[in-house]
Amino acid sequence: MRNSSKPFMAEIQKARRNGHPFQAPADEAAAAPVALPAGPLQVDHSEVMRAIDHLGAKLDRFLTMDAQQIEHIQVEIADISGRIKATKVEMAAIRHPLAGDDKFQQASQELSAVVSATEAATNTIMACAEELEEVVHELKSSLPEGYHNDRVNDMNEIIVRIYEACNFQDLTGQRITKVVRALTFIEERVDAMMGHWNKREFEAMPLPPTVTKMDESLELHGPGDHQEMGNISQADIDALFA
Amino acid sequence: MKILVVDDYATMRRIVRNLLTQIGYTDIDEAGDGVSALAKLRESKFGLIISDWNMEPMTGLQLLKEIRADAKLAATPFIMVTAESKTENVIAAKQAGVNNYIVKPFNADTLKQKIQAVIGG
Repeated sequence: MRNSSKPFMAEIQKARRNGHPFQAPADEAAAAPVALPAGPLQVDHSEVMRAIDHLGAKLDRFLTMDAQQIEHIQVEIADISGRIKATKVEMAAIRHPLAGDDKFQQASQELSAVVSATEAATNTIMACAEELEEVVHELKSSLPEGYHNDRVNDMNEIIVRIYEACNFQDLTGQRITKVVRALTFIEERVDAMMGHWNKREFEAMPLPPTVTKMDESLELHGPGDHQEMGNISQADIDALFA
Repeated sequence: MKILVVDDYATMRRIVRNLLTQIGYTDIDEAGDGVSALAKLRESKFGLIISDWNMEPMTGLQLLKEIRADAKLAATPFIMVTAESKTENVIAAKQAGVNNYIVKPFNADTLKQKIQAVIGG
């Protein structure tokens, strides 16, 4: 079924072939335009205009608010991005993939060296006190009762105080072990945080400044084991000056 | 009286041994951990055990529990000498059957007093 008033070309050509000009169906012919009243057309479209104005105002408000929100979100994203970048720089400063020294390992080694050194010193103190104790016992048995014997007894009490004071080594050792454990924990957390990002990003970041004390261009490392890389023994120093 | 000093720190064993000698106890043996302490306790009779807490592989508390669970060793007096000073730790040690408890650092007098309190000297 076709309602359009415009005929198809096929219909016109068919009518021509039959020797009759094409005629539209009667109902279409009846649908001729109605004649408009004479004079200017008066239409009240003020209500439509008001509705359009209202919609326009609404759209303006919506667009303005949306723009502010987008701007706000953009600022926040920029802020977050800046903070992430700063955090990455700090992480790289702690554990830069290209840094020659491992600060955590260094700190742990230094603390372990403190434990070993104090243990060795404590044992030396203990050995000296034990030797003194032997001397005191010898003296005490060879001296008659009296002032000198009393003084030797005083010496023995001092030796006991030395033994008691040596307690410190065990306690400092335990405290340092706790610090080493805490360092290991922090190291693992930093590694885990860095693992969430691309390692190459950290490689591109500036190397952290050295924490080693400098004297002009010379690094001052403080105490170190002569067997460590780059250190020299007293014997080798003596050989240099011989 | 034979005393067994148990500590994983050789220096600490030496300190305790010297202090014990100073206060008059000369029959002293040493163990570096709970396992070797148990072996020594099962080999010969000891009148007192002075033990550290924080040791590997068997802690002083585990050693204490093993001793209290062993009918032949259960009556051996046990003094804990440790840096662990948390209330709950002391209570746990007491509940496990420790006879006395010394917090490091300690002196010869404290050691003497605690030993006397335990063995009634």
